[in-house]
Amino acid sequence: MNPKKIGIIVIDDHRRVHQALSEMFGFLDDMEILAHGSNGAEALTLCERYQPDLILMDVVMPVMDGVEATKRILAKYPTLKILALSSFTDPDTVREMLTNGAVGYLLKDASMEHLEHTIRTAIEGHSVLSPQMMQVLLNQPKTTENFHLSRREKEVLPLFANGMTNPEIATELTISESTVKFHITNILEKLNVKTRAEALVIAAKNNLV
Amino acid sequence: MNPQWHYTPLAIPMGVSLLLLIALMVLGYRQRQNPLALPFLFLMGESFIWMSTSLLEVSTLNLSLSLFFADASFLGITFMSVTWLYITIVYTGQQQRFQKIVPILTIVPILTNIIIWTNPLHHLWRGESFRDLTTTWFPISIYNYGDWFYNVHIPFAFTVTLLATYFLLRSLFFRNKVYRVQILIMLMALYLPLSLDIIGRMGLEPIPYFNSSTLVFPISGLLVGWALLRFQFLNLTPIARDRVVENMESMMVVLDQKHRVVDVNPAARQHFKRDKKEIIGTHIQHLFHNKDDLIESITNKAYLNQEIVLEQSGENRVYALQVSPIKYRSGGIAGQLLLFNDITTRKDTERTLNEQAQQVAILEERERLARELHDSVNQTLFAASALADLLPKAIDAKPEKVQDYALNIQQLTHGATAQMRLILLELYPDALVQSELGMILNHLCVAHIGETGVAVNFISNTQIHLEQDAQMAFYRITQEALQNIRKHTDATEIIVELCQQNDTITLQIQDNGAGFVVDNTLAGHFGLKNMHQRATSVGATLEISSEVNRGTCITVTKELR
Repeated sequence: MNPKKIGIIVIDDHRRVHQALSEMFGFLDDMEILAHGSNGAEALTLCERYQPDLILMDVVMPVMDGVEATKRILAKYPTLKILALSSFTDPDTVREMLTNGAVGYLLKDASMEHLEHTIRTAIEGHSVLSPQMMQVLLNQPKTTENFHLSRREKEVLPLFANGMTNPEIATELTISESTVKFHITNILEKLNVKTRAEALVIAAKNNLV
Repeated sequence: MNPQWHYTPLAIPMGVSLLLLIALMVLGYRQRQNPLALPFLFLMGESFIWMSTSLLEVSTLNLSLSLFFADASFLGITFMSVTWLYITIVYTGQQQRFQKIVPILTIVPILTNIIIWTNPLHHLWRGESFRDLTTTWFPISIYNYGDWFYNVHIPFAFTVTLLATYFLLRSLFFRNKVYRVQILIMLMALYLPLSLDIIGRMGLEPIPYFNSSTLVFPISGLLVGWALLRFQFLNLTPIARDRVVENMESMMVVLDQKHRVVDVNPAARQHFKRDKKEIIGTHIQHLFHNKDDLIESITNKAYLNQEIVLEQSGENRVYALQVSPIKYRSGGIAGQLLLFNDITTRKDTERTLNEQAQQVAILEERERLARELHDSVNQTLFAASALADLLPKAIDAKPEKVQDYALNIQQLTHGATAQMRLILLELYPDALVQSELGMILNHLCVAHIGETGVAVNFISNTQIHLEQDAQMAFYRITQEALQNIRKHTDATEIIVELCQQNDTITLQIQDNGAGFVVDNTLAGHFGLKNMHQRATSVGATLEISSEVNRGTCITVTKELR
């Protein structure tokens, strides 16, 4: 029996990007593109109709930009994953996307393999920022709050910032997977954030990774 | 008690004086914002008390009532010298230093009045009094004054008056000529009643047994009031003028007709690093070194407004110099007023602002370029590299797709190159109007293919260089036409043709898209209207023909002459 495919909606105002992504997903058996849209407003309607698992969301678009769309969609479908796919690297845009709940921020120079990997990681509930994006976030003005993280939590944070999965972190620190999960839940709580990506923004800002 | 009112001819001048005093009080009240107005009002009020009680004193035959009024008149008289002193202090600008002594001085008149009203207890003020109804043509009360009157009241009043005189005389020598007349009038106003009073006390009164200074006091008031109005010093008291000039940061130099310095303010003295004595009398040319042009302008022109650079303690500072003539009332030129305003800081700020504005412009340009790169080239390259990534997989899994991918990668990379070229051309509009028109339009077409994948055929039969504006117009029209096709139609084929036949240049943009009903759209469609305007502004004609479901053709024609 075929497991259910990962349903994806692509929101981008460039026709060529749609084309290329369609071709890419044509090679993947477990994912499919449900629909294309060219701005944030269309994203809202398409979400309602297709109930996707993940949205590849451009950020700078006419009518309604990705930040606003992300905010609105997640308010309605909190479990949906939104992955930003943009060519803009300015820290404000990146931070805005992530603090509004996007699970990750990919640049439009990512390879197709990387994109595929990121989508899978995102679906599993992790968050991956490309090293470039990490750099962008690290370069922003710093504050120095420490959020009273424990020693263990401080060890876990950089690992999951680097995109390691829970089992990987467990192996690295020779602790059990459920302990890792426990630590991560605590970290999210202490940083007062909902998603891992958001946690990364805050952690980067405060020099914790 | 029967008041026994009685008419005497003295009542007439006294009544007139009273009316005058009321008028002067109104005058003072109107100018009440002026610091001098309040003491002036006091002085007039005190005169009013003196005058009215004196009138009542001579208008009654009743001795005790007459004495009562005589006592009451001192409520005005005793304070007058102190008020005068206060006026001169304010007028000469000594408020800061001497204001405090005035309340102390008022203790004496207050004590005097207490003595007067308690006279029956101690007779320090006056002795026995009686009524004389026959000596003069008006009734008088005759009495001798007591110790307090001679040893306290009179010496005090004269000392205070002398003090006031001292202040006025002192400023007479230190002030500008205009104010001398004013000060003299003030002195006159002060001494007119005083001298009559002295004469009276020496037994030489013009009207026997009557203190004539009462009658002249309104004249004093009139003189002071006239001085105020005539010289408008209730509007600008000399002190205000002096303080402005002395304290202002701008340098002020006054020249006479022969361009010699007659006045400098402290700021100017400090700048020229010389004493007032050294500067006064020197010709203006000795104040400035190596500024022959400036000296010439100053000496030859009545009015001058220019920026000059002067060295001030080793650094160059920028001044706004304002030269204006000083004229006599008759209209003749008395001299020149030079004002130097240090505007170095403003200049520096202006320069900084300019530099910042340039910086901002550069940043904005950079931002625009970045945005454009992100918005066009980056997207096209992303699509190209995505397909390139898929190629190896396709060779194994979907061989039928390989050629399609390769073609698309070709389109996309060529498109990206064209987009890049266009961005550069937009950055340097000179390059845009100097390049060959066909080449530029070709870039537009290739970029369009890159962006959309729609086939665009560019046909051109010769090399064309139009004038600046026309070249730009052809470029923009093509750009807009392609944009319209991309946004509003589903065209699968576009032909852009640029050709020259004899002296006629024709540009045609044709698509096989949705088309539209020409009449309905043209009127309201901003984009089409805009294209029309571009064409006509460079002497070209633009025609649009369109058929629904068959496509649109835009033709621009320009005659070369």
